[in-house]
Amino acid sequence: MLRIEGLGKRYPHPERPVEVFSDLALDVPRGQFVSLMGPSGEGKSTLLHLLGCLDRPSAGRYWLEGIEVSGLPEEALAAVRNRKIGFVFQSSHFVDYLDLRENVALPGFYGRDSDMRACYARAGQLLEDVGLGHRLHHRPAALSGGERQRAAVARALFNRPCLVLADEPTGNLDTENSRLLLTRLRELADSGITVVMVTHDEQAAGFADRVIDLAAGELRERNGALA
Amino acid sequence: MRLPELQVWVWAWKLWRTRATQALLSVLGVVSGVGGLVLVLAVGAGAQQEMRSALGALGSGTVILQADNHGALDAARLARIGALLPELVEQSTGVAYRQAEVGAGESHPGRARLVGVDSQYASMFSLRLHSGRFVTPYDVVHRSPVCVVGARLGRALFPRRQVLGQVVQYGASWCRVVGVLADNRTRLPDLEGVGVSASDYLLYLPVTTIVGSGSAYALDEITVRFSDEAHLGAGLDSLRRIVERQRAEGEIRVVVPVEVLRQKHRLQQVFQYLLLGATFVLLVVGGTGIMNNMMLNVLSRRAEIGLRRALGATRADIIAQFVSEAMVIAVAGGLAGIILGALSAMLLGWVSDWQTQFSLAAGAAGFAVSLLVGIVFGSYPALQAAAVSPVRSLHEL
Ligand SMILES: Nc1ncnc2c1ncn2[C@@H]1O[C@H](COP(=O)(O)OP(=O)(O)OP(=O)(O)O)[C@@H](O)[C@H]1O
Ligand SMILES: [Mg+2]
Repeated sequence: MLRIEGLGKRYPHPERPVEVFSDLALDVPRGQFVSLMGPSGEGKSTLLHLLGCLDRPSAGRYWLEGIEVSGLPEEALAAVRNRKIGFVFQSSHFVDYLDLRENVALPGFYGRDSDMRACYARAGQLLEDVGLGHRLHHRPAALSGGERQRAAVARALFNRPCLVLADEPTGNLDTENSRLLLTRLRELADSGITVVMVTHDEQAAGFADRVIDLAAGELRERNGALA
Repeated sequence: MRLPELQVWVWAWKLWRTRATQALLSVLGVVSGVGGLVLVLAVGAGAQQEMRSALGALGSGTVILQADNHGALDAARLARIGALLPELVEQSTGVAYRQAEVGAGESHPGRARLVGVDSQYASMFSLRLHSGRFVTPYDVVHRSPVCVVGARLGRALFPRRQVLGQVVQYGASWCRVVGVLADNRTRLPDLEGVGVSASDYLLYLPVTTIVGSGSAYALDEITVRFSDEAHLGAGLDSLRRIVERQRAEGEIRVVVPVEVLRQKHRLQQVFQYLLLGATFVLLVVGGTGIMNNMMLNVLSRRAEIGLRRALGATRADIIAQFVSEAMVIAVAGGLAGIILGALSAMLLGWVSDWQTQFSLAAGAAGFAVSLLVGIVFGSYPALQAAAVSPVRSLHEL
């Protein structure tokens, strides 16, 4: 479902270009929950951005659901992000001047085909599902960290993506909220959505089917084998 | 580029509601610029309107002779002018003015202007009657004690009664009201004391009734209408010659209303050009204010831009969003400017003798200009916003 081959990323710089990694390979089947770990600065976020089509690799190829996305033009990449991928960030980010329901409906807005009334109805339903049905018209800033992450998950699921990417989603959460969020990600994987989560937390990694370390420019399975 | 749907505008409006002070400060230039533009247009439209209504009431070929001292003009001269230029003169009338205390029964509204007229007067000055009749040739010949009252004067004299048929006292004499003028809605320009302006507060009587009889009673004004403006040149020359010849009898001023108006409008035009220049500067400054605000917005909302890109927004979406945001404040400022311009036009018309007229076209022009300012000055910041790298901005979170 998700496959990378010889993936490399280098950030250009006049004197010292940063070569984050040069040759990564990974194959993730549908519905797998992968936890990506490793020391700081090794390129976990960078890899996640490549997987999320937010950035282009400097080398290698990337297939998502059998389609090679590494060569797609910008418009098409935006559509892939919109339709196939859901993002959950560490400090879940929102548009501050829109209310919670409008924020969750944003992927619907950028999905073009649907009308906004239906989008708002769906956003309301998704928020209801995560217990935020009474906060639809509140500003995101008025919510607690845990509530915000739940809303962020609702937003990630808006367009029924096949891939959910999470970068340290529990980084700002307490134990209880972390557990709730991880359980939710686990459920998503069980329902057939592929989940890739970057984390520093061993306990969080415990919810995953598979733990992969990114270190020294290599992806290595937790069991010791090269991924 | 995809057309920004209604939703974009709603969200842009929400954005500025949470940043009201910022929006307000950045838009002041556009408010005053559009206000100035609307004012310029209102002055121009008012001048045109004034010209048109004056010409409509007087005709473009009208010349007014004014006696600077008593006795310079008289009825004999009026007759001679008509006889000398029969092919040029379409109509002519002589007027004498007096002041008198007027009253009727208990009501004494005070001094009013008496206008001694002949039967030609009403049609030459396009007076409309509300009821009754105007002064007739018979009245002039027989010095009838009749009068026609202006609408306002009529109401002042007889607040609760029918005006027609009443008796009005002026000075030591009296007259019976045979006609009442309709409310004078078209505002005629004040032509340097030429008595064509406010017919509302005047009392019209047969000229012979107030100045005396005979064929050479004194007149204060003779109004001559040439058949059209083309005949004005030739007619004016002849008139001047006639006036010149009789100089010994006193100074006579020759007033051409069309020229008086043109003179006044030349002054207005200078004002208009100056204001137009200032308006242009204000609009550029206003646009820069909006641009500056938008640049700050791009900087402070990088995270939002990255987020929107992650959720599927293309560069074109980001451009459309930021241009729309600029357009929303520009247009809001423009609407405020239109109101401001309309109000200042009203005020100017009030405190000066300039006629101003706010029209829908002026409003539409103000609207279009503010829209244009939003697009022009919102484009560069929007391009900057579209250039924000989603990865980097998300990294900053
Ligand atoms: N735009 C950029 N230009 C240059 N270097 C960059 C850029 N973005 C990231 N890097 C570098 O790439 C390396 C990988 O960064 P990345 O954020 O992916 O690490 P990470 O594994 O997610 O770290 P952490 O666990 O601290 O979040 C770092 O050395 C970082 O400095
Ligand atoms: Mg990271």
